[in-house]
Amino acid sequence: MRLKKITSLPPLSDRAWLSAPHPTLPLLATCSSNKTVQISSLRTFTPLSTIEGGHKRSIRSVAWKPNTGPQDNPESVLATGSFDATAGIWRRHEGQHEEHIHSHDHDDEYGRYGEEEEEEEEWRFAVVLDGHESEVKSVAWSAGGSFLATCSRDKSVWVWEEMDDDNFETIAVLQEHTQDVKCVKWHPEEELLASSSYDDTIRLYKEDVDDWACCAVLTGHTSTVWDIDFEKPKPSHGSAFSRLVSCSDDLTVRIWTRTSSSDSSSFINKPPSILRTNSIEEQWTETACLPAAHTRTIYSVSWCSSQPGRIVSCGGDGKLAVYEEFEVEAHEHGEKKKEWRIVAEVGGAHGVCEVNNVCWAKRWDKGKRFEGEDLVISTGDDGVVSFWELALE
Amino acid sequence: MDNENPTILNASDLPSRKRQIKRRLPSGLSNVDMGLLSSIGPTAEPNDPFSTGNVSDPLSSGEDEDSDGDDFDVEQIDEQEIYDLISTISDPEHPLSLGELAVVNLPHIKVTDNQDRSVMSHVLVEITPTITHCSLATVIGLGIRVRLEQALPPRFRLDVRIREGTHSTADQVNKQLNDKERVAAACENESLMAVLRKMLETCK
Amino acid sequence: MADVNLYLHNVDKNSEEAERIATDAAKRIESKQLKLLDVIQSMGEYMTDDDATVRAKSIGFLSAILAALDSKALVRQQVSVITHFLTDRLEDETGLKEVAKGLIALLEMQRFGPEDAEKVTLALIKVDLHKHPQGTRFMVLKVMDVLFSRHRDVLKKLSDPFIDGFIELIGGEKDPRNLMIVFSLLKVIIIEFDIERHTEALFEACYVYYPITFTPPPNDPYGITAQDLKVRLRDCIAASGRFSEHVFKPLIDKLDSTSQSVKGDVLQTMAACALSYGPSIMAKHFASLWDAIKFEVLNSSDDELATDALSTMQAIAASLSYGLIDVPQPATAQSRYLKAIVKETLELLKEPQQKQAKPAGQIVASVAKAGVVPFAYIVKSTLPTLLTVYDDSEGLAKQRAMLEVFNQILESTAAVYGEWGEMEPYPALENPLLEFKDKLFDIYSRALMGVNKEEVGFRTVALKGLEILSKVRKLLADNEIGMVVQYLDEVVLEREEESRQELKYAEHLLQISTMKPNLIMEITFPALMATLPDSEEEARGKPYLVTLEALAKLSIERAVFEVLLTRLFNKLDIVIHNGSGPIYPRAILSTLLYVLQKKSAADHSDIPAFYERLVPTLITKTISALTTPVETGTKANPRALIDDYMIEITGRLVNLVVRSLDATRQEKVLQDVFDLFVFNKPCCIILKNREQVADTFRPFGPHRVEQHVPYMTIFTCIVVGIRKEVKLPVEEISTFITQIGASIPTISLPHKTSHLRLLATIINKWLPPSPSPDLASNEPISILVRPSISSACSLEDTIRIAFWVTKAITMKGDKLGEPLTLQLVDLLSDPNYGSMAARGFAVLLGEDELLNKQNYAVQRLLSKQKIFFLVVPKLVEAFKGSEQTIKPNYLVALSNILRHIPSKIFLPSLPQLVPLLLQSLDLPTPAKDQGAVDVKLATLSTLSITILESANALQAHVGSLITRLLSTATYHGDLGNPGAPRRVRKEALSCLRIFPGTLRNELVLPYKRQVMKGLVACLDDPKRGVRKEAVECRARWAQLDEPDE
Repeated sequence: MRLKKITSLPPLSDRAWLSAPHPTLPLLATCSSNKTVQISSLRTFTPLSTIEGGHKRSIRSVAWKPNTGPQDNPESVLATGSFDATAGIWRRHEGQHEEHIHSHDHDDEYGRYGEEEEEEEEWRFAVVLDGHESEVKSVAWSAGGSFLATCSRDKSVWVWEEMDDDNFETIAVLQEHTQDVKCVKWHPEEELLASSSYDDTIRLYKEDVDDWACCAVLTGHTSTVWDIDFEKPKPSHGSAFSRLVSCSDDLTVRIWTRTSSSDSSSFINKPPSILRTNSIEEQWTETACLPAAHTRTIYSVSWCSSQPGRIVSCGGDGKLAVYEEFEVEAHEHGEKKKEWRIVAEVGGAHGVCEVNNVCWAKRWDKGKRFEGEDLVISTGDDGVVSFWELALE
Repeated sequence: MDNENPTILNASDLPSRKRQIKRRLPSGLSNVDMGLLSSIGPTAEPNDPFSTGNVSDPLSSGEDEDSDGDDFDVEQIDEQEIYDLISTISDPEHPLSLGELAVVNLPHIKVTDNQDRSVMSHVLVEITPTITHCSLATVIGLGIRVRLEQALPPRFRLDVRIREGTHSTADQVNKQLNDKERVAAACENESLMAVLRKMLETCK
Repeated sequence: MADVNLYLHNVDKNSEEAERIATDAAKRIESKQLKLLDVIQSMGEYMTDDDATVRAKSIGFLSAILAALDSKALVRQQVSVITHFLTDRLEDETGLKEVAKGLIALLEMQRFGPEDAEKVTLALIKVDLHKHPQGTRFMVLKVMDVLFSRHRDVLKKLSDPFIDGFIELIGGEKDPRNLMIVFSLLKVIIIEFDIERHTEALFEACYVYYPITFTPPPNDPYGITAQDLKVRLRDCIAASGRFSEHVFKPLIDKLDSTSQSVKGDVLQTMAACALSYGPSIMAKHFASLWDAIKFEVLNSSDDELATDALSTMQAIAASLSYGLIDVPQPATAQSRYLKAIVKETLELLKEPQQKQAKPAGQIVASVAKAGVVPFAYIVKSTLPTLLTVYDDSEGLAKQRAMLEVFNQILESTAAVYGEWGEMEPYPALENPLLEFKDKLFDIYSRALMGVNKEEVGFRTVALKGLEILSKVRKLLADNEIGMVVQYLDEVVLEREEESRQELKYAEHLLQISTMKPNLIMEITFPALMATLPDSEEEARGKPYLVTLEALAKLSIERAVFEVLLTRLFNKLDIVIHNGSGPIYPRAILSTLLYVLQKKSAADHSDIPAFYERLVPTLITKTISALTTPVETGTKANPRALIDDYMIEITGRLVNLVVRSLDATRQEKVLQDVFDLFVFNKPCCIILKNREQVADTFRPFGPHRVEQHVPYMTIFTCIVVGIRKEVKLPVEEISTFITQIGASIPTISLPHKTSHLRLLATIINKWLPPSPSPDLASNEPISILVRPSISSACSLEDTIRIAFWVTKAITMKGDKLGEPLTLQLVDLLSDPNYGSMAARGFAVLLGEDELLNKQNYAVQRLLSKQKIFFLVVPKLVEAFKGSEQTIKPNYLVALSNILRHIPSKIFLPSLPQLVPLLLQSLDLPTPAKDQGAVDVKLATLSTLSITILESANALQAHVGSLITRLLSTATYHGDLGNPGAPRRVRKEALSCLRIFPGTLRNELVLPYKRQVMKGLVACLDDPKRGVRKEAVECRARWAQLDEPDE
């Protein structure tokens, strides 16, 4: 297996921190330390527009609000987290492209989105989310899009809920971490939030009756945990089963599996919160430590949604690495054993610069080789966003 | 002030690049006031201003280390060059340089400058605070990191660390100094950058 | 009376007219035509006018008259009447200014007696000055000033009431001009008056103004600075010891001020008070002062403040030990002060490597300088301990730091006991250092000579110590200083290049030679000469160059040079006799050249005296080496004397001596030289076998001998140095010129230059001015510069000749200058010779080493400017029209011109030149092509000058200049086109570096991102020097504040 570079976007004027693919449209948002977010097309790999003027300092993280695609409510919503200690909500009306998109969402006869006619984007800077005392490091929308989580160097994780338009309410301020919180991620289906931190731990949170509380603490890493990502659940998995991957400054990528979870029983027999007996607690254990692929801090890790058991990571050594989980003939007592192996690596992915973020995304461009193919998007200190395809040797 | 009376080195003792004074008798008699040694007898024939081709060593500047060796063979970046970049940073408290205060020392710098410029190279700088509880160790470390990030080509990966056993909270300081995101954020903090700018003003 | 009326009428409209009326009235009073009393009566009605200004002006009339009157004009009685009249007016306070003017004039009258003075004073001090404008207050204070200078004893007699009144009068004064008077009068009172009962009030009156924080108004007519006020106020405060009780406490409090200038003022005031109050008063205050000011030195962050504090400490020490002739008794204030200082500093001095050792050393040294007594006390109480610390300290670093402390203390010895050769009387108290001299001498000697050679830093400090000891008179004996000289001689011969350089032995030798010249002659000279090898083989690997340099630096004075000359000539003979190659003899001759050049630069008058011993000997040696056949069998190598460079050096030596001769001697020399080189007749310059030389030596002329041709360099060097007024021993100058011109093409390249220079010198100094600017009709010039159809003279040679001829002509401002220059400009468009011509312009305008003013060449002041204004517009014009291949010629020519023109001349025409300069940045500069590199460097330096001195010429081109500078500075990596050589890349970066800070921000900011990105590549330049420049440049651009901030 080999990671082959498809192409790259023209370099931004400054370091690029993170890229996030649109949940449904062939769009990509890349945030940079030049205080802007660049929207580019995943169909033609060309920059479309730039969002600026909202933040006074670098923008560290960006996230698209899920299921607000053109079908029901013709608007794209973007959340940005910046070093100026605020998060921003941006909206853009997708209305005028309705006739293209509305055709039934059949892949091959997809509408040509946005590339021919002159794209007069205007992203409205809808809301500024104030509250954090220092740099905001990460923002994430919950699966249904109803909650937004933000975290900051002030050691806190905030959960916001969108009331009516442009009005967000803080429904939880979680002060669990003892140091700078680096990343927040929502479980793809459940309302379960995970955060990783400079204090070397990962913590998970759930709503317990009316307030949010920590339901699990994952220790094991020996240095800052930079990024985490949930595995996309598959029907084959039991309801309790769920896996999380994390990467850290201790040069390891680890897999954590949930063994038991008190699934959120109904409200009725729930004792008043003060008396609750920690029933929301979950048991997560470290179930694997991926083979070492990086010689410097690992900044980002992402679980492939289309292909089970496939993960990509990137780091300060400028390398990308793809790992896959293999079934292995067990020894005597015959039960199947799983093992992770590195299947593809590429050094100097961004020249001599560090790679800050990597993720999978649905492939929209002409070069797509098969239905449901995913490509890897890497974002680096050289201000470049590169696209890679997994090619068989 | 944490340490009022630190031990200081004499500026002229600090390690410097030995100028390879190749005793070559430069050409031409015109540079008479450059001291006897350089005016003793020309070697190349007096150059004819009209002709283009004279291959004689251009303006004979004798000691200037620039003039020897051809113009394009590579001089690798070495420990001394890194030392020269950071030894003249001034201490935030004393009107003295990090070199004089022995906070930075040549033997505590390690450089691996990769011949192939398309591959990452690496610099490790270990600093020795003047006293074990020096509260300014982080600012000094940050000053060194910002100076080297501005002065070295992007292919260099940088680690700045407090030397083993020289500071009570070395681990926390090291972790902070090498957290790329916190360093980036610090560089956007106006008041901190003002302090750093003052420390870097004395760099020559 | 009409006068008053007329005066009042004119005083506002026409002050001269009013002045005239008053003086006219004064004249009439003096000549008794008019009685003063009548004038006063006539003013009566105006005096009582209810309009105050009328009353004031009428008094003004009286004052003007008084001012115009002669001092003897008024009799006793008239003076007292007017005094009475004016003092009454004082209470009235209207027209106070005019009244004051009148009083000033009145006070000048001879018959103005003490009673009048008393009356005026008593009235004056009752005036409430505050409500009056600054000008009136000034006048009143002027009256007081005059009273002080003429009737001081009256004021003294009035004593208490006067002092109180005066303090009242001057209270709250703010105007700087008035304050200058107030302070000087206050000082007089404080010193001369009995201020027993007024000390408090007087101190308050002064101290209320402390500290002065006055900034003069922009166009201040009186030019009074804050410093003037500060000094005058300081004098008042320091004037009397009585103030000591009041002044020191507030001063000490003021030391906590955050303003550096206030603290400086406070320290200086303390010093002034200490010196003026004397020992008994200071005995009460030194302790509190010492505690307050020691912090300013020990934890100083501002050098200036530290220096002020040090001088205050010194002042206190001097004040306390005033009148003492021996070390103070323990209990006295003097010794308690010094004891406190030693106690505080000795602990710090014991740890010499710590930061505070240096300031502690400064304190001790500055207090020691206060006088013989403090010096003795400090030496006796610190040296013993420090010497033991030195003995027990291991490791050079600590010893070295301790030596530096010793040097600080020893430095004050010379200040107290004086250096060799100083005239002041030697202090009575014996130098306490004598007791420690041997130990110190031993420590320093071992530190210098007993340690391994690489320890340069350590040995430098030791050498410094020895030098300080040797300088102090009556400290070291002559033999001890002699040993220091011997040490230095040994250092000279040391193998290690680097350590020798660091120790700067020559300066130290020179230092000592000024004090003890005999030691150098007796010790150093023989020692160094003895080490000089006798032959080339023996010299190989030996540092004889350094020895020669040491000898040269010591031999600038006449007596020493004479010895050097003889010694080096003998050595030269031995070396030649031993068959040496060219390098070593060349070094010997160059040593002599170096000394002569230094002497000529310092225009020593003794140079002509060396003609006999130098010129004939050298010329005979070199020419006889050529003409006498080499006897086989001996390994002697006379040939060594006649290689090109030896001839070049000989020529320069001879030139320096010949040009210093007067006209008559030069005439004789010129005739000799022509006989030898041109007419082939025996001449007395050649000291032995003249006939043989005359018969065989043929360097010039139709039947010349090829190997003799290089000798023409010596001929040219002599002719070049001859004064204009000396006649050339040639019948027809133009035929001689044509003859030289004709010989040039047939000579090999290295020797063409000497003939070209000869040609140029003769044209410049001896060719009569050309009758008309028409080139064709001007023999012999026209022949020289016209390209010959026959193949005799190649076009290159014609171009060379043309440029040298034009140089000679334009230098003397001859009419032919213009046509000749224009002809050169046309050459530039020639496809195959244009580039050579372009380089020629460097010769045309460059400063030649021989054809210059010191060699009496005719050099019109504006000759270069004339060429510039003639040629450059033509270049700019031709450049536009020329096609691509020719354009570089114009750019090269332009750069070669601008290199040699002072910037203030070409700055005005920069706007049209900048486009050309920018395009010349694009010219390829292969490292091998020296000319191209020089042009590129010239262009870059011109652009730098432009940025610094006339930025607006560049306004429209900032963007394109930055882009070009970045590409010139970048090493392109692929060896196909590696970009400009290292020095050009570096120069491009240093040009880019001056943009921020020199050009206006808004011009530069838009390019910040492009430059920061572009410089990243330069950070990875293969050459360290270029990288360093890139780092500096990038740091400067990074400081440009963010565009959007």
